[in-house]
Amino acid sequence: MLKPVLLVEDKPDDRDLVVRALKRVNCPLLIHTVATGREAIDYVTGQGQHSDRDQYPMPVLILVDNELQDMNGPQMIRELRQHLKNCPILTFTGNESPAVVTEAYDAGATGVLVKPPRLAELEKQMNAVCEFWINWCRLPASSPVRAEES
Amino acid sequence: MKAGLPLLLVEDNPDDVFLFTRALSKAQRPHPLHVVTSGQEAIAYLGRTGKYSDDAAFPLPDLIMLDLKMPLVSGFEVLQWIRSDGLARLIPVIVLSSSALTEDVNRAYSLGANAYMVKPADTVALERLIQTISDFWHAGEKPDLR
Repeated sequence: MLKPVLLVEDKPDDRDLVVRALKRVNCPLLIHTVATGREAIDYVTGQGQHSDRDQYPMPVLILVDNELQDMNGPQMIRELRQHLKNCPILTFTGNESPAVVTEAYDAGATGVLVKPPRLAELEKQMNAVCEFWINWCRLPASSPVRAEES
Repeated sequence: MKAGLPLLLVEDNPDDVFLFTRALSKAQRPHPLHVVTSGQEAIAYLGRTGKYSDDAAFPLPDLIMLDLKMPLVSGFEVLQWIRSDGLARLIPVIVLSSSALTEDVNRAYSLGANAYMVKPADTVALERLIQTISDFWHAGEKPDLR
Protein backbone atom coordinates (compact mmCIF):
# COMPACT_ATOMS: atom_id res chain seq x y z
CA MET A 1 0.00 0.00 0.00
CA LEU A 2 1.37 3.40 -0.98
CA LYS A 3 2.11 5.81 1.86
CA PRO A 4 1.11 9.41 1.10
CA VAL A 5 3.87 11.96 1.63
CA LEU A 6 3.36 15.71 1.26
CA LEU A 7 6.31 17.80 0.05
CA VAL A 8 6.06 21.56 0.62
CA GLU A 9 8.71 23.22 -1.55
CA ASP A 10 8.48 26.45 -3.52
CA LYS A 11 11.73 26.18 -5.49
CA PRO A 12 10.98 24.05 -8.59
CA ASP A 13 14.54 22.73 -8.93
CA ASP A 14 14.68 21.63 -5.30
CA ARG A 15 11.22 20.13 -5.57
CA ASP A 16 12.16 18.14 -8.65
CA LEU A 17 15.35 16.87 -7.05
CA VAL A 18 13.62 15.72 -3.87
CA VAL A 19 10.83 14.02 -5.81
CA ARG A 20 13.41 12.33 -8.04
CA ALA A 21 15.37 11.15 -4.99
CA LEU A 22 12.21 9.86 -3.28
CA LYS A 23 11.19 7.94 -6.39
CA ARG A 24 14.57 6.23 -6.51
CA VAL A 25 14.46 4.84 -2.99
CA ASN A 26 12.96 1.49 -2.17
CA CYS A 27 9.78 2.83 -0.65
CA PRO A 28 6.07 2.57 -1.51
CA LEU A 29 5.29 6.29 -1.64
CA LEU A 30 2.51 8.42 -3.06
CA ILE A 31 4.11 11.85 -3.34
CA HIS A 32 2.05 15.03 -3.43
CA THR A 33 3.69 18.41 -3.77
CA VAL A 34 2.54 21.92 -3.00
CA ALA A 35 4.49 25.11 -3.57
CA THR A 36 3.35 27.35 -0.72
CA GLY A 37 2.65 27.18 2.98
CA ARG A 38 -0.93 28.27 2.35
CA GLU A 39 -1.45 25.41 -0.09
CA ALA A 40 -0.05 23.00 2.50
CA ILE A 41 -2.58 24.23 5.07
CA ASP A 42 -5.36 23.88 2.51
CA TYR A 43 -4.16 20.37 1.74
CA VAL A 44 -4.23 19.10 5.33
CA THR A 45 -7.50 20.88 6.14
CA GLY A 46 -9.17 19.63 2.97
CA GLN A 47 -9.93 23.03 1.46
CA GLY A 48 -10.92 23.50 -2.18
CA GLN A 49 -9.68 20.73 -4.48
CA HIS A 50 -7.99 19.05 -1.53
CA SER A 51 -11.35 18.09 -0.07
CA ASP A 52 -11.20 15.08 -2.40
CA ARG A 53 -9.39 12.69 -0.06
CA ASP A 54 -9.29 9.95 -2.65
CA GLN A 55 -7.12 12.14 -4.85
CA TYR A 56 -5.42 14.04 -2.01
CA PRO A 57 -5.10 11.60 0.90
CA MET A 58 -3.93 12.78 4.30
CA PRO A 59 -0.15 12.44 4.44
CA VAL A 60 1.60 10.14 6.89
CA LEU A 61 4.74 12.27 6.60
CA ILE A 62 5.29 15.90 5.65
CA LEU A 63 8.55 17.35 4.27
CA VAL A 64 8.68 21.15 4.49
CA ASP A 65 11.18 23.63 3.14
CA ASN A 66 12.15 25.88 6.05
CA GLU A 67 12.53 28.93 3.80
CA LEU A 68 9.24 29.22 1.92
CA GLN A 69 8.34 32.53 0.27
CA ASP A 70 4.89 32.96 1.83
CA MET A 71 5.75 31.88 5.36
CA ASN A 72 8.87 30.79 7.20
CA GLY A 73 9.39 27.27 8.45
CA PRO A 74 8.50 27.71 12.12
CA GLN A 75 5.34 29.64 11.20
CA MET A 76 4.43 26.89 8.73
CA ILE A 77 5.07 24.15 11.27
CA ARG A 78 3.02 25.90 13.98
CA GLU A 79 0.10 26.25 11.59
CA LEU A 80 0.36 22.65 10.48
CA ARG A 81 0.47 21.53 14.11
CA GLN A 82 -2.84 23.23 14.79
CA HIS A 83 -4.41 20.84 12.31
CA LEU A 84 -2.13 17.79 12.53
CA LYS A 85 -0.92 17.28 16.06
CA ASN A 86 0.87 13.98 15.59
CA CYS A 87 1.97 13.66 11.95
CA PRO A 88 5.76 13.63 11.61
CA ILE A 89 6.98 16.88 10.02
CA LEU A 90 10.54 17.03 8.77
CA THR A 91 11.88 20.40 7.79
CA PHE A 92 14.61 21.02 5.23
CA THR A 93 16.89 23.96 5.62
CA GLY A 94 19.87 25.43 3.84
CA ASN A 95 20.83 27.13 7.13
CA GLU A 96 22.29 24.80 9.73
CA SER A 97 22.82 27.43 12.39
CA PRO A 98 21.85 26.16 15.86
CA ALA A 99 19.32 28.97 16.28
CA VAL A 100 17.46 28.02 13.09
CA VAL A 101 17.48 24.32 13.97
CA THR A 102 16.34 24.91 17.54
CA GLU A 103 13.59 27.25 16.39
CA ALA A 104 12.26 24.56 14.07
CA TYR A 105 12.14 21.96 16.86
CA ASP A 106 10.56 24.51 19.18
CA ALA A 107 7.84 25.13 16.62
CA GLY A 108 7.03 21.42 16.54
CA ALA A 109 9.27 19.92 13.86
CA THR A 110 9.86 16.20 14.31
CA GLY A 111 13.27 16.38 12.67
CA VAL A 112 15.46 18.90 10.83
CA LEU A 113 17.50 18.06 7.75
CA VAL A 114 20.06 20.17 5.95
CA LYS A 115 19.70 20.24 2.17
CA PRO A 116 22.76 18.45 0.82
CA PRO A 117 24.68 20.04 -2.09
CA ARG A 118 24.96 16.91 -4.20
CA LEU A 119 22.31 14.65 -5.68
CA ALA A 120 24.00 11.48 -4.44
CA GLU A 121 23.86 12.80 -0.87
CA LEU A 122 20.21 13.80 -1.31
CA GLU A 123 19.35 10.28 -2.42
CA LYS A 124 21.19 8.86 0.56
CA GLN A 125 19.31 11.27 2.81
CA MET A 126 15.93 10.39 1.30
CA ASN A 127 16.78 6.72 1.64
CA ALA A 128 17.46 7.26 5.35
CA VAL A 129 14.17 9.21 5.67
CA CYS A 130 12.12 6.50 4.01
CA GLU A 131 13.85 3.62 5.72
CA PHE A 132 13.25 5.19 9.12
CA TRP A 133 9.81 6.78 8.71
CA ILE A 134 8.10 4.52 6.19
CA ASN A 135 9.70 1.11 6.52
CA TRP A 136 10.32 0.97 10.27
CA CYS A 137 8.39 3.63 12.15
CA ARG A 138 4.86 3.14 13.47
CA LEU A 139 3.04 6.25 12.38
CA PRO A 140 0.16 7.87 14.24
CA ALA A 141 -3.40 8.02 13.00
CA SER A 142 -3.42 10.76 10.38
CA SER A 143 -6.85 12.20 10.98
CA PRO A 144 -6.71 15.98 11.43
CA VAL A 145 -7.56 17.72 14.68
CA ARG A 146 -11.10 19.00 14.58
CA ALA A 147 -11.48 22.72 15.28
CA GLU A 148 -13.25 22.09 18.58
CA GLU A 149 -10.40 19.84 19.81
CA SER A 150 -7.57 22.30 19.12
CA MET B 1 34.50 7.17 11.37
CA LYS B 2 32.76 10.15 12.91
CA ALA B 3 31.06 9.29 16.21
CA GLY B 4 27.31 8.95 16.26
CA LEU B 5 24.87 10.75 18.49
CA PRO B 6 25.14 10.30 22.27
CA LEU B 7 22.16 8.17 23.22
CA LEU B 8 20.21 7.65 26.40
CA LEU B 9 18.43 4.31 26.62
CA VAL B 10 15.56 4.12 29.12
CA GLU B 11 14.83 0.41 29.57
CA ASP B 12 14.02 -1.63 32.67
CA ASN B 13 14.40 -5.10 31.17
CA PRO B 14 18.05 -6.25 31.51
CA ASP B 15 17.73 -8.65 28.56
CA ASP B 16 16.51 -5.85 26.32
CA VAL B 17 19.35 -3.62 27.54
CA PHE B 18 21.82 -6.36 26.67
CA LEU B 19 20.34 -6.93 23.21
CA PHE B 20 20.19 -3.21 22.44
CA THR B 21 23.75 -2.59 23.59
CA ARG B 22 24.99 -5.55 21.58
CA ALA B 23 23.14 -4.44 18.45
CA LEU B 24 24.38 -0.87 18.90
CA SER B 25 27.98 -2.09 19.07
CA LYS B 26 27.54 -3.47 15.56
CA ALA B 27 26.28 -0.19 14.08
CA GLN B 28 28.46 1.44 11.44
CA ARG B 29 29.26 4.40 13.65
CA PRO B 30 30.02 4.33 17.39
CA HIS B 31 27.37 5.90 19.60
CA PRO B 32 28.19 6.91 23.17
CA LEU B 33 25.48 5.25 25.23
CA HIS B 34 24.12 5.81 28.72
CA VAL B 35 21.48 3.51 30.15
CA VAL B 36 18.95 4.13 32.90
CA THR B 37 16.71 1.33 34.07
CA SER B 38 13.62 3.12 35.34
CA GLY B 39 11.40 6.06 34.63
CA GLN B 40 12.49 7.74 37.86
CA GLU B 41 16.15 7.42 36.89
CA ALA B 42 15.41 8.84 33.45
CA ILE B 43 13.82 11.92 35.02
CA ALA B 44 16.75 12.29 37.42
CA TYR B 45 19.24 11.94 34.55
CA LEU B 46 17.52 14.46 32.30
CA GLY B 47 16.68 16.75 35.21
CA ARG B 48 20.39 16.77 36.19
CA THR B 49 19.69 15.83 39.81
CA GLY B 50 21.80 13.84 42.26
CA LYS B 51 24.77 12.13 40.64
CA TYR B 52 23.45 13.17 37.22
CA SER B 53 24.36 16.78 37.86
CA ASP B 54 27.86 15.81 36.69
CA ASP B 55 27.68 16.93 33.05
CA ALA B 56 30.98 15.36 32.09
CA ALA B 57 30.06 11.91 33.39
CA PHE B 58 26.38 12.08 32.39
CA PRO B 59 26.02 14.40 29.41
CA LEU B 60 22.61 15.26 28.03
CA PRO B 61 21.90 12.94 25.10
CA ASP B 62 21.17 13.98 21.54
CA LEU B 63 18.58 11.22 21.26
CA ILE B 64 16.49 9.28 23.77
CA MET B 65 15.34 5.69 23.24
CA LEU B 66 12.41 5.16 25.57
CA ASP B 67 10.63 2.00 26.66
CA LEU B 68 6.98 2.41 27.63
CA LYS B 69 6.10 -0.38 29.99
CA MET B 70 8.06 0.32 33.13
CA PRO B 71 6.83 -0.01 36.73
CA LEU B 72 6.05 3.00 38.93
CA VAL B 73 6.91 5.66 36.33
CA SER B 74 5.96 4.58 32.81
CA GLY B 75 7.48 5.73 29.55
CA PHE B 76 4.36 7.84 28.93
CA GLU B 77 5.00 9.71 32.19
CA VAL B 78 8.66 10.16 31.34
CA LEU B 79 7.67 11.53 27.94
CA GLN B 80 5.22 13.94 29.51
CA TRP B 81 7.91 15.12 31.90
CA ILE B 82 10.50 15.53 29.13
CA ARG B 83 8.20 17.74 27.06
CA SER B 84 7.45 19.93 30.07
CA ASP B 85 11.08 20.31 31.14
CA GLY B 86 13.07 23.42 30.25
CA LEU B 87 16.34 21.77 29.31
CA ALA B 88 15.37 18.38 27.87
CA ARG B 89 12.09 19.24 26.15
CA LEU B 90 13.54 19.54 22.67
CA ILE B 91 15.56 16.31 22.73
CA PRO B 92 14.17 13.90 20.10
CA VAL B 93 12.56 10.87 21.70
CA ILE B 94 12.10 7.55 19.94
CA VAL B 95 9.75 5.20 21.74
CA LEU B 96 11.06 1.65 21.46
CA SER B 97 8.33 -0.61 22.78
CA SER B 98 7.14 -4.19 22.52
CA SER B 99 3.61 -2.81 22.16
CA ALA B 100 2.18 -2.49 18.67
CA LEU B 101 -1.20 -1.26 19.93
CA THR B 102 -2.57 1.68 17.96
CA GLU B 103 -3.66 3.37 21.18
CA ASP B 104 -0.10 3.25 22.54
CA VAL B 105 1.31 4.60 19.27
CA ASN B 106 -1.16 7.47 19.16
CA ARG B 107 -0.74 8.26 22.84
CA ALA B 108 3.04 8.39 22.50
CA TYR B 109 2.85 10.82 19.61
CA SER B 110 0.24 12.94 21.37
CA LEU B 111 2.60 13.24 24.36
CA GLY B 112 5.40 14.40 22.08
CA ALA B 113 7.31 11.36 20.89
CA ASN B 114 9.21 12.07 17.69
CA ALA B 115 8.92 8.47 16.52
CA TYR B 116 7.61 5.09 17.60
CA MET B 117 9.27 1.77 16.86
CA VAL B 118 8.24 -1.73 17.83
CA LYS B 119 11.07 -3.86 19.23
CA PRO B 120 11.86 -6.55 16.66
CA ALA B 121 11.70 -10.17 17.77
CA ASP B 122 15.04 -11.23 16.36
CA THR B 123 18.52 -9.84 16.84
CA VAL B 124 19.28 -9.36 13.14
CA ALA B 125 16.20 -7.19 12.72
CA LEU B 126 17.17 -5.25 15.84
CA GLU B 127 20.61 -4.55 14.35
CA ARG B 128 18.97 -3.31 11.13
CA LEU B 129 16.60 -1.13 13.14
CA ILE B 130 19.42 0.44 15.11
CA GLN B 131 21.42 1.09 11.93
CA THR B 132 18.32 2.76 10.45
CA ILE B 133 17.96 4.95 13.54
CA SER B 134 21.66 5.78 13.43
CA ASP B 135 21.54 6.69 9.72
CA PHE B 136 18.55 9.00 9.95
CA TRP B 137 19.27 10.83 13.20
CA HIS B 138 22.98 11.15 12.44
CA ALA B 139 22.08 12.90 9.18
CA GLY B 140 19.66 15.24 10.89
CA GLU B 141 20.39 18.37 12.87
CA LYS B 142 20.01 18.52 16.62
CA PRO B 143 18.52 21.33 18.70
CA ASP B 144 20.79 23.47 20.84
CA LEU B 145 19.83 22.70 24.43
CA ARG B 146 21.87 25.41 26.11
